[in-house]
Amino acid sequence: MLRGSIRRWTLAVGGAALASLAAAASAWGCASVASLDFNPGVAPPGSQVEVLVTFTNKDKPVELRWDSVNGPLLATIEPATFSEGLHGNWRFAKGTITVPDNAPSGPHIVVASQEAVAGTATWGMPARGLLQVSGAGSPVVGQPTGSTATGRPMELVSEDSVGAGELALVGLGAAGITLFVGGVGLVVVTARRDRKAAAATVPGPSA
Amino acid sequence: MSRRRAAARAGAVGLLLVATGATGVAGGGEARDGKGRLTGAAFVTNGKDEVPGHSYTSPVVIVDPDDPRKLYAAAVEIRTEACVLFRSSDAGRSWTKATASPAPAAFPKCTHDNGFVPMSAVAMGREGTLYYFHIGWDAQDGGRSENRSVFLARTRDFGETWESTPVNVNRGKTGDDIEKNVPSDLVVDTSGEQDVVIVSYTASYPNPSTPPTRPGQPFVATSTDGGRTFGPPVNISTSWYDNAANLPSEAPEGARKKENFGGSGSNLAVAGDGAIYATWNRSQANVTPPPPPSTQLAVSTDKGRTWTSSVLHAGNANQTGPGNGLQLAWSSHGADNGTLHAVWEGRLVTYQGDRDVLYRRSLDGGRSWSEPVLLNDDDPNQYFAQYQPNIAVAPGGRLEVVWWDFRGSEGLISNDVYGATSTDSGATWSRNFRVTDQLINRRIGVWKPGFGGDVRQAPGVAANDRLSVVVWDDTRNGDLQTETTDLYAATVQYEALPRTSGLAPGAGYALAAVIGVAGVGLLMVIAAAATRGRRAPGTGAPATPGREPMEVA
Repeated sequence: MLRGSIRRWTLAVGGAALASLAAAASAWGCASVASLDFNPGVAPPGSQVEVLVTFTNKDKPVELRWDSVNGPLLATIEPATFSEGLHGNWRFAKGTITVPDNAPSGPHIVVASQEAVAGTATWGMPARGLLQVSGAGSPVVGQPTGSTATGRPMELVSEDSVGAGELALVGLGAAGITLFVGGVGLVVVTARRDRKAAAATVPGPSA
Repeated sequence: MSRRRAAARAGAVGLLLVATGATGVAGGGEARDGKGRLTGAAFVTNGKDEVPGHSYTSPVVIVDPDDPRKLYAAAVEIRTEACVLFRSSDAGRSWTKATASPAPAAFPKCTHDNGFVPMSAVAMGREGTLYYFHIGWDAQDGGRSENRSVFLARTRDFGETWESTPVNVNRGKTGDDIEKNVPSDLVVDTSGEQDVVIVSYTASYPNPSTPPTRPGQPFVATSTDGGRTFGPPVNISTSWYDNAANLPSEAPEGARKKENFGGSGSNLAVAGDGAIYATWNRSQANVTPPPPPSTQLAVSTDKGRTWTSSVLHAGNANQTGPGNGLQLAWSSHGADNGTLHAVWEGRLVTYQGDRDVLYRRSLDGGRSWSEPVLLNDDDPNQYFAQYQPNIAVAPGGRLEVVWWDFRGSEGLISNDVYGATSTDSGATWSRNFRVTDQLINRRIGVWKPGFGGDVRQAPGVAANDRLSVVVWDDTRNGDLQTETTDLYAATVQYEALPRTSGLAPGAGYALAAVIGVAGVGLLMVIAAAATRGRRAPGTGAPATPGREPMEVA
């Protein structure tokens, strides 16, 4: 059930991708990054899988290898002789590989390699595609999405040292407190002097 | 930091003899080499004013030299083909979209279909002026591939309003004269009385489409009045090809003539003494097979009127050449007259279609260059691709280089942004660091064949002495139906930011209390003085009834 669903999805996506490539490559630029698509995207060991490589150079064969750049050679395929919507030096390359009989279940990499051609540019070679190998009792986990960086702060650090405003505030506060203490002191001193002066007053003649 | 703010701070420090200073931020978040602090991704195109399915190209980013929190990101929205400006006033943590368009109403569209070529460029002038160099066209110009013009827009109010100046207008040209301009770069020299604005663009001539065709040409135009007017554009390759010895020897003899050669992709840098540097890639028409790629450095010491070129590097079997174009920058550090820095996508040893990030520098104004060095530090035996590097220089000399990197793609067509930093003017570089927080699926959005493919842009980066901000296009909110491509930003922080105001939160209440206390104290002083004043003159002893004042002889 799940396998069938994934297969239908893969076919639909592959078909849509091919259609959009053919329709729009002429409308917008040309060279994208080389990529691989598989049909089906999930396959058991020993089964055959169709491979579509996009944006290969038209003049060199494409080698498909298992699990690494230098892994076992699965197939050598030729780029299409007609453009199918691509143009210039770029082509699709289609072929079939057989999943190795001893392939453990789980995600595997198929690598497409192609020699550089002088005077032309290809982006994305060697290209990598992800193929799920199914097996007895092995769950189909889907494509890994790569690691996600976690724990990064969202906020920036601002200065925690005293800023100009704070310094001005402290200065103003110190001046204010000084003024307050001075004022209180002045009032107290004045009051004492008043009392002393009053005590020292010579009484005048009575009426 | 502005001079006013710096002066205020210095005065305050002097007042209370309290030492202040920027606080290092290493150790927080995801430290890199113990120096930087990397934040999580901030959502630039955060849904406000966005239509479903919007698809942005990776932007050009700039930071205001007078305010480390103020940033601009200029991008193109592919579906509407509009120039868009995003602004941040908190160092890239939150962004808003400017509602006004920098493009003139008669030339509203800002896209082109040339591979790996910038859609626009931005730079800062004095007093917060932002300059925005962009392409412009409309339906009457024949679409993306026919007559296209270039304009300079400028704003002094954070992108709320714009003034536009035509740099080169091609509307109305027909037949063989049809001319298509695409922007290359923009720099501003702020050392004089007015901003000197220098723009570069490539002109191509799509008709006739059959031989003999005309090669594209690299032009530079200069404004000496802050972008209000521009002088006539100057082809910076002309003087180079005037000397027949500079025509490539690999070209067949019959095709080895000046009219078959031109150039493209001119990236600019301006030195402290006003010298303008412009790289340009050789291009050709009617030459089969084409000669290997070659990148030249052109120099002008008269504000762009005349140019002298020399070979910066030539492609050969061991170096695939400039590929997507070379990014040039100048810093005042490293040598007495500053340092020129160049980064580009290439390979030291050709292998299939793989690419790396390469760097070299010149300590003598471009007369000689260091050997190319590899900046990406992934496993060389895996041949993971690195594309489209970009470089930013902080005023203090720190270099920040970022690029698209496929080392984590694990068989998917997806990539990250990686970066490296140099604090010694490019003599040595940090380990690579991952800027993005998750892989970006490139089977959808502007990287997808048919939706853009090769109109992808380099990740944007801007730097000041406290931080670097990187902005990239990201498909995390998209799918195969919507093709939505958003922009996200991350900040690498090296020093703490200054407070946005001088007062900490709650300081207003404290200030009110202090003013109250001071007021009471002042009233007491006044009251005491008034009391004493009523008794003056004399010693303070009040005159008392019943006794005459003593007379002084």
